[in-house]
Amino acid sequence: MSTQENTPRTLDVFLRGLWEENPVFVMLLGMCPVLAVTNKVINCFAMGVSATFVLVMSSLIVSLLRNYIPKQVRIASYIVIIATFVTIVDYAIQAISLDLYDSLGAFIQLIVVNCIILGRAEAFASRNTPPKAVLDAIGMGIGFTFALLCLGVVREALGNGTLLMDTPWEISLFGPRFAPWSVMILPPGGFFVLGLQILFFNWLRKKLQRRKTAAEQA
Amino acid sequence: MTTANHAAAQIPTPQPTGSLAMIGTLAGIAFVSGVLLALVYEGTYDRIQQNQQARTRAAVLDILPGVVSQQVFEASAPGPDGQPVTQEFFAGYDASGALVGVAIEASDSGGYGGEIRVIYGYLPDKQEITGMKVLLSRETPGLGDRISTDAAFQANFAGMQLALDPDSKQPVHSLTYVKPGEADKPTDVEGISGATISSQAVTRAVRASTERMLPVVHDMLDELRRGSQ
Amino acid sequence: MTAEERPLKLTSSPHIKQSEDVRDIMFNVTMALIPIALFSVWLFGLSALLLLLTATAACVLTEHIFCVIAKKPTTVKDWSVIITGLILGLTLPPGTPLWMAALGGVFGVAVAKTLFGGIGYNCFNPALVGRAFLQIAFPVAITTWMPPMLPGRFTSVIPSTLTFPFAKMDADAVYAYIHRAYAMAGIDGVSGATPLSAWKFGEPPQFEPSARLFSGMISGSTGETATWLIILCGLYLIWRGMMNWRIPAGMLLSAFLLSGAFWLGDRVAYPNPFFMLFSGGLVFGALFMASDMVASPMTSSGVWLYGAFIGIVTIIIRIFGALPEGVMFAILLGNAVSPLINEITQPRVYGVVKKRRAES
Repeated sequence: MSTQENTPRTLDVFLRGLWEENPVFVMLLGMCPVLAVTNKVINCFAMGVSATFVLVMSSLIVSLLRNYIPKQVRIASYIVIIATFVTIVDYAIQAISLDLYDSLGAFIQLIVVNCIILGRAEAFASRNTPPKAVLDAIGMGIGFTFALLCLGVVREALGNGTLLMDTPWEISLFGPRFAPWSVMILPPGGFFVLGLQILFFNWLRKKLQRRKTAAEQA
Repeated sequence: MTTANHAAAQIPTPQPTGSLAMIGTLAGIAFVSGVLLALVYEGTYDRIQQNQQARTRAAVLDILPGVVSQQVFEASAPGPDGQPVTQEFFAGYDASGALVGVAIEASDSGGYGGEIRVIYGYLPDKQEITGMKVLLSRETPGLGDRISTDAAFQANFAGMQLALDPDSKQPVHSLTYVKPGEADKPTDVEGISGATISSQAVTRAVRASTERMLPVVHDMLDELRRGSQ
Repeated sequence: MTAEERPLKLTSSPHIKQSEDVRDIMFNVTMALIPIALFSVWLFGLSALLLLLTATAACVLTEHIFCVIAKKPTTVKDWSVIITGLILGLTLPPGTPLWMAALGGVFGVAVAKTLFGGIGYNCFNPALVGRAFLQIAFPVAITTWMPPMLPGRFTSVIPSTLTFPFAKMDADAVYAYIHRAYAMAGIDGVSGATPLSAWKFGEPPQFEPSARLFSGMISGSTGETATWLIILCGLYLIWRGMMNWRIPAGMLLSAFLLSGAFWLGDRVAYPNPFFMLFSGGLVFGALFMASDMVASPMTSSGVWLYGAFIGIVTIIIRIFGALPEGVMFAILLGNAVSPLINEITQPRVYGVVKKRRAES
């Protein structure tokens, strides 16, 4: 990762996670929840918020403790820290809504092994000051949530004809006669939509880059 | 990813660390984590319990019309291998405290996506099933999950007469799965075309549970009637 | 780059002076599919014709549009995409809403063919990818069947065929239509269930006689029922040397042997091997879909393995799976493993001594 070579500017730390190093579309991290929970917009939202919370809190703690944790046991320490916050989120969601908890299934607990969080702890938080680590975590978290929502909106719209189903704000998009494409709610739909969206974002990024170099040369 | 050199340069403890320091750090983190989790667990325990109770209560109230309070009972009935298995079920009472009916959970593992768990209501006085509600299923959206959304399939179970034999207390006619449009007995369950496997699994679940549990429930009727006092 | 652009053609040996090329083969495959398509129109009527035309048009248009976007010369003229469209249409139920058929064609060609780089680069059979997509997306529409030779099939279309784009298909209207057609002709109705689902979901299981299956007078996918005609058309391609006969042979043989073993074990629960062979899309799949040149292995022992693999998976899905028909998924799985089959069946290069593990 080139960004570690020279200390990045503060704003860049935040923006990177959204676009240039988007954890899902660019780094292809955390694919397991991305494919599994994105069949409903509300799931994407809950997953994104939970993962962001865990990411921010564990980045903060890791960054605060970075001078005290011996490097031989650092991974074990990070995992314990991350697992603590994941369990907190797990209880919190159970307390908020059991239906939401059921539809997220095992994926809340699996945030522990989400490579985005351990990756950020190891690659960034453990070598930067707490404010920067938190900023990076927020950026990555929002980038992750954004990617989940990108998939979720398409999958729920096509697979069920709605947005925000199972919430009080459910919107029916195409009327009652719409034939839902159930494949989109099922796992294959996750792969199809993810593949096509990675294609789209790569194309968009290349295009923007070309425009940027063209502008610099001019 | 960074090289090993790079990593070592960044972490400000280049000297080998003693085991004691490592154990100490891990133990410290684990201790703080444990305390934190205990606090969160205590803080959310009541809410989670409330949520779970609200959920079963909603299911029971849904399946037994006119019920205002409910109580959990246990019954022991022979399982598939002949050994007695204890199962919980719910008895529902109306405002005057009289027994309305029971709600029993049933499950079958032969669904398209694995286990299907349903709850059904039974009125011992009328010998009638009030209805069926799917509690858990992983059936295909738009196809197998019609067991919980298809009104015609749900109607199979609503008001189904299930007379018990006075001696053996077994249902006179067991639930039978038939193709759509072919039901001629109240205990015939018309399947959903295109969702045969899922609707068969639901039928099997309810049939097995009625054969197993209803005789026991009938033997317990006095206890159930007393239950609300 | 086309041949015309290069004045001098440099190729390494062997030099075969034969004009046969991709276009030739694809043209012949198309010609072999035409009789099957015509027969299916005779069996299922106007709806089948509309279905085949829509599926083919959707595939051709998709490929053309993608070629234009990619600024490549259009590859529509090599006939391969027409085969994709025809096969997609022939594997769908006759009453499939036209918009679904079109969507399947667009999806199959766009995702499974053009995005992989067009003809020669697709690792899955595009028609089957489109078919699988539809099967999972619209399970009700893709499992609503029509009896063959329905009275009045040339003067009216099945109501589901003209479903408004993106609207739900009304399966009850289809059953009512079948019922009405029989009532008006004064014939006793035949159920629309396919022989495979009548066996699998029937209580008690029903076994269609093999002769009926062979004749094609059964309900099923538009072009998969007439076993005798499919075999004839396949034999034509084999005779012209345009199809690797080992693939269908391996597939049919393994399916026959495996289902025969089940049948010998329990003759009440399992149908006889001829039933398995002639029902559903097994023969059509073996001759026209598994033998897709791009997505099948290249070595001669590999094709036997590939065929046998697909045959066995088909029977396993049919007997143990939740779906009554397994040919489509079996072939897609076969496509997926064919690079592996290529890898393990590489022939020894002449003159090279096989390395021992210790030396390497």
